[in-house]
Amino acid sequence: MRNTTARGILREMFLSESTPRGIALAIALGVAIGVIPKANLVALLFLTILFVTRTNLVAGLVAIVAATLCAGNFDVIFHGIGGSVLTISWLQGVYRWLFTLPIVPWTGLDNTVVVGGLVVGLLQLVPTYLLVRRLCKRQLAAWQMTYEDAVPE
Amino acid sequence: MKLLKSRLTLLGLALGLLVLATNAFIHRSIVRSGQAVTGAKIEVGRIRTSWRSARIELDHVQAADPQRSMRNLFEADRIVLDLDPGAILHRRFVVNRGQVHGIRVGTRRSTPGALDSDHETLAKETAVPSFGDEGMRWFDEVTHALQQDIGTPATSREFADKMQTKWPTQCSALVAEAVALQKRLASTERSITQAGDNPLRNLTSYQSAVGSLDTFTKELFEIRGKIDRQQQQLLMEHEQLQAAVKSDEVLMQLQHELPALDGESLGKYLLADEISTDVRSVVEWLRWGRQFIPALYTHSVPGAGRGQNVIFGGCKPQPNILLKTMVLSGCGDVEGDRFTLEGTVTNLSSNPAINEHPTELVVQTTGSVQTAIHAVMDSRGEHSKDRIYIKCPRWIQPERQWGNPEHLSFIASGGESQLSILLDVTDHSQLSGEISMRQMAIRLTPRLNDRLTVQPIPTLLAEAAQKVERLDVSVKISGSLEFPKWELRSNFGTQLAKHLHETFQKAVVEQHAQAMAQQRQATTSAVEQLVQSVTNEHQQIAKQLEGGDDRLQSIHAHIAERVRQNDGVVQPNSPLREVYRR
Repeated sequence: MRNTTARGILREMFLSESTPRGIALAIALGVAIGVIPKANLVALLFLTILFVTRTNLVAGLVAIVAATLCAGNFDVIFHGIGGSVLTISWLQGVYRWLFTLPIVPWTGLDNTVVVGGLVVGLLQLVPTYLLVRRLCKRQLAAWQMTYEDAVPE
Repeated sequence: MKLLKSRLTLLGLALGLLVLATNAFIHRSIVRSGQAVTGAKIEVGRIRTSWRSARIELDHVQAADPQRSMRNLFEADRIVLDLDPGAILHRRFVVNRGQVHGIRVGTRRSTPGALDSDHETLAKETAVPSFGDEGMRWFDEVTHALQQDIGTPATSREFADKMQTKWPTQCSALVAEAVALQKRLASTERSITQAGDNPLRNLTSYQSAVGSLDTFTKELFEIRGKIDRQQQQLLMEHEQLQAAVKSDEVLMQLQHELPALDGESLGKYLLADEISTDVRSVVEWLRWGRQFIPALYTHSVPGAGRGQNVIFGGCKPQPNILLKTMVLSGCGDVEGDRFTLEGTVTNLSSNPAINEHPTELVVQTTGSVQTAIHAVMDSRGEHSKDRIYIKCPRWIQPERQWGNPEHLSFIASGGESQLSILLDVTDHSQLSGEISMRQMAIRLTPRLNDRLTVQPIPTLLAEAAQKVERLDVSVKISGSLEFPKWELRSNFGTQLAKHLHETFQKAVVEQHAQAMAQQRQATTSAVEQLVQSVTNEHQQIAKQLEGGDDRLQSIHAHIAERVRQNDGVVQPNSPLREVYRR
């Protein structure tokens, strides 16, 4: 009985939300988390969003692993983007004020790669979500048609 | 809602595990960063973290010595770090006060502390000047001077030889002259005696005798004059010989004056190995300690992992890790001598270039090893300046060997000594400073190679070495950490050289004086014998000449008696004499 309950909870956690919307959101968030270095509060915030929203965790975790493995190759690009953002002169006052607040330094937003990764992660959220949702819908439709053809009348 | 609950539970579990893993994370961080710094194993027994009181406690910490794998650099029973909670919220680890209890230095390890990594020791890289065995040349000369035959003094010997050849000849000539005169006198006397009482019958004989009287008198006078002159000449030459002997002695002394032994070279020859080892060791420690000090501050500093952490305009950069005060207490031992240790480290930071205050270390040891260490490391600004001052008023030196055992070496006795080290490192690598060491009572025992074991060299060396009573060594250090240079200044070399020179010179002089005295004795005794012999000869001649006088007197008397004119006939300018002569 207890095993059945635990299995149910695990299934609920990881395999629920297998809709195109849930999978697309999980992959978009997973890629965003993957491209950001992990030892900071920004990554933790994105992870929390992944966990608390209606997303497919398996898809999200796979996306995190895949994006993390690839992200190292793009550090130069992230560093360039982050450096440009962090050296915008008219934002220096804001940054300075932010970094005098407690906890904020733990976000790692003074790091070029974190900021570069965050920018890239945010920018890819919507296109990735839309693209993956569309692909998922098409695939689901294809699977549905195959299933209907296979069932005898 | 059900989904949210289960997800939040999972997230909570993950965060809980993360918090529980904090100790393991801190443990791993300390071990990894410590090993990166020391290049040897760091072991931490247990870590307790209290987030409520912002305290980290580490039990039984061991840091292995990278140079000696079975020894620890230090071992501490307990390290307590009181963190500043406010600084943690700003992603900074500030230790307001740390305490290291039961610190022990140089303890033994049960397992090797070396890492498998290719952490190279710096000893091989350090360039230290080397010295040759210049001092041995001096010993070769001394040995030669002590062992060579000094020979005979040239001038006096030649002079003596000349006298030995000349005087017997001259004496013989004079004797021959005297004998000839005696014969002629005897002949004249005989002819007058045989002429009978009537002088007119043998007028020719009388004429001849009267005519020879002047010649005989003159010749007798000349021979006596020659004897006098020869005596004077002999005495003069004897004096000249003595002067020549003295002159030869002075010349020989000058010839056997030992060359001055270069004390500086001797000191370097004997002390170079030990000093270079000490200097290398000090420089290695400095380099080892400094190679992990971050470089000058820049507005963009490397992040912990990827990218760079930007310092925003107007923000005052602060080091991520700062240890404001760390109190040290413990004990240790050096070569079996135990000491207790008290000290403080202040303002130790991960980025000293941007720290407000320079890092300062003050350590005081008491017991068998009394040491005061004061180090100030200031990397602020463009020109860094580190100053390390170590003073040991009481340091027990072990027995050690100086020099090359294959040539000449000395065993220096151990004993109480004073040591002070003052080093400045500017601009991150420029080195300057001085190491001074004084050993108040020292006893040197020479160790010789086969070449120097011939007596009296070992005895003389031991005698000279015993006169060295104190050791003062000063090493001036310059150059850079990569290529240190050093210059040795010591009273040891000059002191030992002076005593060696004096002792050996005395021995050489004594040996040569003895030989010279023998030579002088031989020369002068031979010449004195010659003088005595010549004088005897002269006396013999003089005695013979007295006989000649008697004969001449007899001839006078005989003629005077015959002509009844007593002495008138033989008086000079006598008219009668002129008659006889005609």
